[in-house]
Amino acid sequence: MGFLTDLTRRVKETQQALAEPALGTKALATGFGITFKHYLQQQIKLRPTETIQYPEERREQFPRTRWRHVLTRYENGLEKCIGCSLCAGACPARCIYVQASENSDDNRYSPGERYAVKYEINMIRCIFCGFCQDACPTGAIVLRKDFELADYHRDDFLYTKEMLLEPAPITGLIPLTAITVVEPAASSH
Amino acid sequence: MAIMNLLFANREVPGIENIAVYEAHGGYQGLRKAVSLDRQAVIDEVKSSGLRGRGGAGFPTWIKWNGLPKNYDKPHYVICNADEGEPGTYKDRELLLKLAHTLVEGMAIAGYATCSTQGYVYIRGEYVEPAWQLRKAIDQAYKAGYLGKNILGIEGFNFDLNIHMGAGSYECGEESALMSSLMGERGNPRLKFPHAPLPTVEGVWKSPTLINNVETYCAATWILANGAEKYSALGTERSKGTKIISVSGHIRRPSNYEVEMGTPLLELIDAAGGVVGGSLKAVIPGGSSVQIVPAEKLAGINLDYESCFANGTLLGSGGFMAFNDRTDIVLLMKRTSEFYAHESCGKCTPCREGTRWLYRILDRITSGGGQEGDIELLLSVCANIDGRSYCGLGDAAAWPIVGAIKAFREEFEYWIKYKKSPVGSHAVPPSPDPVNPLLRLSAVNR
Amino acid sequence: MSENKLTQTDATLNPPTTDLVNIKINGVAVKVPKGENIIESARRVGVDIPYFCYHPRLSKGDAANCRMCLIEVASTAPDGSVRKMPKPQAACTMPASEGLVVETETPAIIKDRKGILEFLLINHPLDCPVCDRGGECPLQNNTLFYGPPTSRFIEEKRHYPKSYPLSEHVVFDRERCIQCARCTRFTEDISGDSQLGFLKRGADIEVGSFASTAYQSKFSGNVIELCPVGALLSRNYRFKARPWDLLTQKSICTQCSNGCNIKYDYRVDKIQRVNARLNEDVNEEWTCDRGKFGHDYISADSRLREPLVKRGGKWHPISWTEAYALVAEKFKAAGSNVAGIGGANATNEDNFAFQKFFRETLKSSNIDHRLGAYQGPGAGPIFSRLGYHTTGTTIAELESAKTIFLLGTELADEQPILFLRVRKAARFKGAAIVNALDRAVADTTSASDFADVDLLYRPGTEVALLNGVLNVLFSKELVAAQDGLDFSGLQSAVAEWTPEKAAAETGVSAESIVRAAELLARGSVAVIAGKTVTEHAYYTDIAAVLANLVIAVGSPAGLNIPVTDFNAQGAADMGVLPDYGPGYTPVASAGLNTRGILQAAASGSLGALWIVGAELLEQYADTKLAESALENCQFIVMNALSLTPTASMADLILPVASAAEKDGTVTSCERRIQRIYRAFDISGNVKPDWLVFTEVAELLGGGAPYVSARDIWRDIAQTIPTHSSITLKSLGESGIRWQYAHPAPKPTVAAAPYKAPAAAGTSRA
Repeated sequence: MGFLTDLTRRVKETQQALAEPALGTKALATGFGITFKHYLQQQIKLRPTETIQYPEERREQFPRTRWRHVLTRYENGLEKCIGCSLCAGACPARCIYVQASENSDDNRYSPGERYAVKYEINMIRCIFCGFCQDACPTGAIVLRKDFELADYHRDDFLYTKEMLLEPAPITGLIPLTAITVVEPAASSH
Repeated sequence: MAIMNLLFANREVPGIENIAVYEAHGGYQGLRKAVSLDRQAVIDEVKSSGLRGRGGAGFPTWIKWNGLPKNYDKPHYVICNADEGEPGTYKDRELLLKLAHTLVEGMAIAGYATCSTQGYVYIRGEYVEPAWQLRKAIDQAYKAGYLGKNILGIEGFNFDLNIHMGAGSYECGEESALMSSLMGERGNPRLKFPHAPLPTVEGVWKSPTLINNVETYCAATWILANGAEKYSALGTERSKGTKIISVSGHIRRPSNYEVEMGTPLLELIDAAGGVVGGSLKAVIPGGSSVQIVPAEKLAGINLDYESCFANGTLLGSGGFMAFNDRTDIVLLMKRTSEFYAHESCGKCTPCREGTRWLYRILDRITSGGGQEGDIELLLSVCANIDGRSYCGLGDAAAWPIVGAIKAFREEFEYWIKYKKSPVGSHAVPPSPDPVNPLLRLSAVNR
Repeated sequence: MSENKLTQTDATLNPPTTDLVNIKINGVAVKVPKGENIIESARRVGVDIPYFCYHPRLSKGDAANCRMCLIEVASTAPDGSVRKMPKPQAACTMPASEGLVVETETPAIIKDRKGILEFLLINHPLDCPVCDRGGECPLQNNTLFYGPPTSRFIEEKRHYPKSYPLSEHVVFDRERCIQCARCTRFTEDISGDSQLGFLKRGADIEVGSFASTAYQSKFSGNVIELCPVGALLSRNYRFKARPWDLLTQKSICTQCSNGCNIKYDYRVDKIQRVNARLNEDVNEEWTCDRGKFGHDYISADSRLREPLVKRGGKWHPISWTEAYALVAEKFKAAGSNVAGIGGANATNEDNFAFQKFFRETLKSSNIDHRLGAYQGPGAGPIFSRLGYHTTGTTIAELESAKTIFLLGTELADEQPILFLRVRKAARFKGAAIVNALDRAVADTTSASDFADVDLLYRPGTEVALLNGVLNVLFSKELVAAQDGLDFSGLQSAVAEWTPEKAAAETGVSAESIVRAAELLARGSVAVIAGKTVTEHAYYTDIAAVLANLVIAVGSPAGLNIPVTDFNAQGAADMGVLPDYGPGYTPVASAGLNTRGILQAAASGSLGALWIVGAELLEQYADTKLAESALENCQFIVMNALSLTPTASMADLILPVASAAEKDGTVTSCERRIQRIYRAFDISGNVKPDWLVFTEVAELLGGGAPYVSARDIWRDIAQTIPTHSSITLKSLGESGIRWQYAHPAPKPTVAAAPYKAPAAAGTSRA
């Protein structure tokens, strides 16, 4: 309620001030003067521009920025994730769901016996603390710099393994960072 | 003179393995003497002789004999440990081959004294010929009435003797493992006092059991036949009588020598003809399980339990091994540790994992992979095994290595630093085949 | 086949001795029972000693092999001087004795523990992230608490192929095994099949079965829980979840009537595994394989999630409202010409609501839960003679029996946990076992391995055999005179059954009959009769002779003819019987039993039939009658979990909650009332049976408006006098065995007629 009475009082004061012609003109001139000064300073490059033209321009990110999770692969294309669920255990927001299954020689996803058949992160719950990355015994899950995570539906924030997994390399020789095409990996499921 | 043949008095007599010759040379007089006495008097005779167990531990024999209940309420068992597996020891083999009747007589005496009706001789599986000799001796003894029902006409004195062949496990020479094996179970050691009752209360088949070494029963025969005074007159204050020492290694005349307890160790080497192939470097006085003694420390050691113990080693089972100066102690220890790693039964953690680890460290050192700190690692692993294992096998695997590092540390350091043997061409042969023969065998079987 | 009992190592489970000794643990003086092992004594003063191989229920003969529990021990001489033992000792086998001084936290012991753990880990693969045991692993925990931070082992570790399939249920990872011998001891001491043992020796030692054959046991699942590392794993649960992913709910096993306490470990709405829950009175801490691996049906994909109605031979999903309307319409039309079958797999509350719905709302007593051959009076054949309906002995009391007589049962299949108690009694408590079995069914049972005498009789000659035993008891004067009991009638009735005549009739040797009689005369007898008896055409006669036998040997409370279905005992207690209401109160006019109902249905005269989870086609003895009943009945509604063969012949199927989805109580074969708890819901459209009956009753204008299972229990306690003092809270963790209000009746003996089998091998029902 304090806020409302305060506002009423201010409006009254302004009305009174504007009612006096000399006082009103001065106030207007002072206000616009500041705007005009800044405009001129920027035009003659006396002062840097803080605003950037996102999304055409993007800010540089700090080296240890933690944003969207990525499930990485070994150079031979096998998934690093072994479905151990330690990330889920470490997660303070309880937003990771892992379901493991057994590799077979015909159907191999990761080097050992075990792989994650389901790996889901609820991005609405995630607080990007990076504990999952710390807990991972194989370095499979890493938090990278993709921060544009907005979406239209709540369901779309449930990131599946297909969305999180790094794309499979075309051959083992091409560095993974060189591949930019993002599409659901054909190899899984 | 160092040699004093009591048990071996008749070993050169031709045909002594036959009962007629044996009887002609005073055989079965001990048993006759025993049955003429009260049961307690027999035990007292053994007590006053001061006889101690000849299997290695030196436990006073009469305490075991006295521990069994003196009645026939429950079956009692008399067991002879003839699973002679200690590397360097072969006295029981000769006793069985030539003097099997002495053993039969000794066990019958024990059967009489402890009210037992069943006896078992557990012979190691490789001793086929000794087992045949014993079989013959037992058959002859049955015919002559020294075994079976109403022995020597004594009403109610029944004693049957059976042979049980082992299947090639060193561990089964340990008395509780032997009992497991005898009962048809896996040859693993069992709980011992104070965790479980003594064998004399609860041994095989949960019945009172007497278990002694071959030499102990033979000595008991001699004591009954010749009197405890004669026996206790020999030896030192606490180690009475004689001990058979199996001499082997770089020695001119390797053989079994029966010596009076307390004989200076060096005298035995002289009696056996001295060292061959170089000068004496070290001696293992009691089988591979005991600490090695360098030549310069041998002078004060006498062959009796106390003197050996005071000098940081043990008389053990009398497996006396002498090594000349071309012996590589590290290779010797590698071979020894390989033996224990192979013979560990695998029941308890320290022995199962530790013995194999010791072997692998020594194997690495002797194949040029030695690292700084390996000696400390060996000592630490030995310390973690020693006294922590379930039975004595773990201790026996750790002691020789600790002893060897104490006495010959510079040889280990040499191997680690220069990746080669300090003695150049070495006398102790490397192990014949690096592959565990048991593994190979089972791989074929599968 | 008899085991040599002398060779067995003694168990640590000796009866507690009253002899107390003074010992000192870490400076704290404490009085403990003489001979107790130091691990247990240390717990009394709050000192934890780490271990792997020790287990209080396994024999200590092969224990003390992990060496993790080493302690320093000293003894006090009478003069007060303390003598320390030179070597550290294993606490798990060290017996407490007067004046023992124990130190568990000295620098030497701390160093020893580090050494032992370093040894254990040098050949352990340390693949905890992919190991199912990771997170609940004693090796992990002890390493964290007591272990060295690093290993000095730089050589190559021992390698074996991973995941060797040991049996149908168990996989074995030999690399992870620490050779603690718990599994091998379990198979020898507890389950008795001796299937696992050690192969090879030294560092190559490994657990295995004989000649690499499959590990065949009815109790193999227990070794998974016993294993202190991830070496023995469930094939079913493998890689399904990590311990921190799981939620746990207490429950009771639904696979038989023993009432074993279990835990469901589940994830969201799927059961991942079943573990045993400690209850010393019932299952101790064991489960059978049927119980441990038999709960998949709860989370099966075939579970029904909405009501289905059959229209034109096809199933159509409908809403509950429509389903109720249909049921109400049909049952209203049929009036009291309705019937209900089942309830043996539902809770007490379900059954109470079931019978209340029929008796009060529909005014019909045509309900029965029994599917077996016996369809006689609901109280059973022994109640009038002995004062109890099925079991006189509790499971735990079997341990104190001197002689256990098993008649016509493969107990390890029928009542697996009862079997473990019988074996425990035989192996560790010195009970004698007489094992009588129909030679047409089997010539050996699991109990034959340790039975003192096996009696293989010709089919149908049970009465002759028992009369023969009674004859020996009388002729050898092994029957003690009992107050006010006249045995002369019985004696003369069995006088003709000399062992020789009984032997000729039954095919059992006369010596065996005499031997059995001598063992039964030792007193404190427990008789367990199994399916061969209850499914027998002469069941009533056999039960009468068994009653004679237990009275003659002076153990009138020793007869047990346990029910076999999950809550059949509870269903009978709740009055799902045509002739008895709740608490066995006779009803004015008895309804039809299961056979009568099915006959009425088969003739087309029955208006409507409600089946409560009873798989008639699979479980009812007369499959043909069941089939024609299901075909010809005018309207069948069935409460079912999934579309089973019986359900697919119904007209309307109502999806009901399984044991994991509802609260309630169940009663085991020994009359023990225990609680089950709701763990999760698989769908909002699945309802517990009691709710279905309550809601339909409301539609039909009657019945009590129950809103929870707790409500019904309150009603049960008010209705049944024997249950009146029992509240859900008072059931606690281990349940309560309800007691008969009336004193045990005065035993009476009555000879039963012997009807010779018409032809050998054809007499079984």
